[in-house]
Amino acid sequence: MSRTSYRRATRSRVVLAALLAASVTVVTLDFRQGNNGPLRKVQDEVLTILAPLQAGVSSALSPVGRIFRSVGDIPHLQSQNARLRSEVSALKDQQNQVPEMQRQLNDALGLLQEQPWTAGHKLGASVISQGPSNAEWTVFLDKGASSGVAVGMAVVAQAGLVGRVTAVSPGSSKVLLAIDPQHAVGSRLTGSGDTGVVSGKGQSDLSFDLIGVTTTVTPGETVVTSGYDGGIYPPGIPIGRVKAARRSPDGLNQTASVQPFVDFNKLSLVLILLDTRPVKLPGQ
Amino acid sequence: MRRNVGIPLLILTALLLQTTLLPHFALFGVTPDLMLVVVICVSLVRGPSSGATAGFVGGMLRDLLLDAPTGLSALAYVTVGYVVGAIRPYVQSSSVAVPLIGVFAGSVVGTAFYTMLALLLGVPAQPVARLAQVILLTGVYNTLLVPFAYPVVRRVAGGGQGTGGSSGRAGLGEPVFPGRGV
Repeated sequence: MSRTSYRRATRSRVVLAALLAASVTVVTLDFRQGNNGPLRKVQDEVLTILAPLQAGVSSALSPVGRIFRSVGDIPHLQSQNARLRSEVSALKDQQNQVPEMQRQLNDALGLLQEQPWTAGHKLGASVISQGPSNAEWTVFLDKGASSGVAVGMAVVAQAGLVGRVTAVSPGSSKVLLAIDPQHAVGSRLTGSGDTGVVSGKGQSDLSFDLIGVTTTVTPGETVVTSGYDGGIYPPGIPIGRVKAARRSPDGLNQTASVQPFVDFNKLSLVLILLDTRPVKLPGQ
Repeated sequence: MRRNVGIPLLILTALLLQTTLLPHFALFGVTPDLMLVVVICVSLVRGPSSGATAGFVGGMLRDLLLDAPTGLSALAYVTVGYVVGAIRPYVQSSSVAVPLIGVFAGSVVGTAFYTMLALLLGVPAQPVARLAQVILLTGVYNTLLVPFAYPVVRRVAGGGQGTGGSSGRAGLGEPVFPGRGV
């Protein structure tokens, strides 16, 4: 090799080594510092900067979402109802977008109806983007700290549980969805009252683990949150319907597959429950 | 000067499109990884140093949007960005197949590497069969993005001393896409 290309090859190896070292340092930092380190602040900064851009791109793709975003707080939604209806009837003239907009309208109108498990302070929000990875199920919302959103708050849709807030910036927030493997919630079978933990399995149905071995699990039974998980979720939020149950390999408990009520592929409008925050245990 | 701004812009655009537009095109629950495609294309066009740097910046940005430990995507993308660029000079071909195969192989290796790192660090994951499916499908879908992404990367970041040595082998120019001109 000539001298120039030898230098170039060496230099590129130095660059590689430096970048690999930097990456490993970041991983270690993140591992040890958890939610309190400087990396957390960088994450929030990135979210702050990116969210308006994402909202802009997303806005161009979704006219109903844009209108819903301008509606604001739930208490004002009733008075905005007439305006929403007349605007949507104008939108309905756009033939090729009708089915999608009709669905979003139904979502919005559904959210206007009070459910027993959405009592308390709540905030309507629109999904502006999804997470960038095929290994994580997260969405980004267009409401953030300036609207009162904080990390740990529960997020629901008209049909039931969506997930919880894991990061906030002034104008947006990130939600970890219930179908993500990193998500777990204390749950209860409405038939027997037995409790366990529902965790996500990605594209597959949710998995309801640690059910007592003597419990009768009925296919079609509704699963709701139990509230027995340090208060992350209030009790009574619908999660999904049992499909089938089987014994665990060690025979000590049962596991049931649960089909979620919420269609996570079509999330657009959600409610953030502002009264919910996880209870901090001593030492956390 | 234009090139110094161009690659960061490419990375930012990839991230925005990845989170807003591409999820609508998911098939079998898998979204193509545009960031990885851009990193590999930069590496093919500009060489291992640029590829590794693009991998670091793109990977870090991606990590900051994820709940998994920060820095894993950076590690995986830096490695793929470097290796693709380092192998490129030894491939004596200017055909269309080079970026297609490069993106496919790089995507499979990069996604598999990231998946392994996440598993090693104890991040809860889907069943292994599904993970393998995701890795393969990501490779395939990323390759489908090449006709769109590669010309753009080449236009923005093209030229420079990335691919060849100074041994004067002229045949290592960028592949030509039939019908699109150079």
